[in-house]
Amino acid sequence: MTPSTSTSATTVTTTPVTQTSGAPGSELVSSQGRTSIADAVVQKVAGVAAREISGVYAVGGGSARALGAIKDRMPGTASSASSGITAEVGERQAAIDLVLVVEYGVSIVDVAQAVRRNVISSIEGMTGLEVTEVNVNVNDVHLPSEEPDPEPARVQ
Amino acid sequence: MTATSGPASTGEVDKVAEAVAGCPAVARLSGGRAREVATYLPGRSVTGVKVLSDGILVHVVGRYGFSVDEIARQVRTAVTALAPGLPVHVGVDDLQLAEEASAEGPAGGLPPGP
Repeated sequence: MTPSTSTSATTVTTTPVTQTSGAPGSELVSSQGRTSIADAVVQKVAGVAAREISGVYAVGGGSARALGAIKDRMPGTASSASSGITAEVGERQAAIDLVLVVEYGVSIVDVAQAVRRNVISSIEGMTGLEVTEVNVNVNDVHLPSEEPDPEPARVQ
Repeated sequence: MTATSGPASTGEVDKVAEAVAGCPAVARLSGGRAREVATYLPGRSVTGVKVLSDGILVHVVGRYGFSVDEIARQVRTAVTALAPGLPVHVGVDDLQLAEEASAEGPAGGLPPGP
């Protein structure tokens, strides 16, 4: 399943986040009309936020990428920018599942927490939705020797 | 004027679509998940704008970097200028990242930097 035989897949599913404050300025239903936010919006924001964290080699990976290739062909599903990310979006809340590949040598727990913090602040800031949980699933570790990698795969 | 006498004519739907597409936070109009958001006209359709009994439904793809609140505010401002008093229901279906925008060619203002 994983692209590498030298690393065993590591799965760290961390506990849901306790929400500290309500969604800031969430005026999704007002007298001037409703605002609805599609899953793809939340997925994309979460994907960009996760890639921003140093130590994250890729978002998605393994079976998530394979599923993403199938999902790309389905109408109405998210683009590859959101592969490996599932978002459940309600009227005021959102829950996110992320699949990550991390760099070898990082503290997975610390990276997962940094990803979670950044995902929550990005989604709450950009959508006004309250994030109830961010489940981080680390499914591989990227070794520097695995590939020469001519192009950097993560956000600088 | 009743509440539903807004952009009932075809020209006004076009004007609404044009005004919304011109918002800096809007990358393009969107038809929604199943392209269900559209106004059907003789020979063509206007994607992303639909007149409902309780207002106007507008679905867009926003530009990454703008908050959903800001996208909705800009769309509401644009539509309200053409159809005052009508509730504007805004659906944000997706966000366009900067690299996706450049792949499609420039289409207006740039999103703010990271």
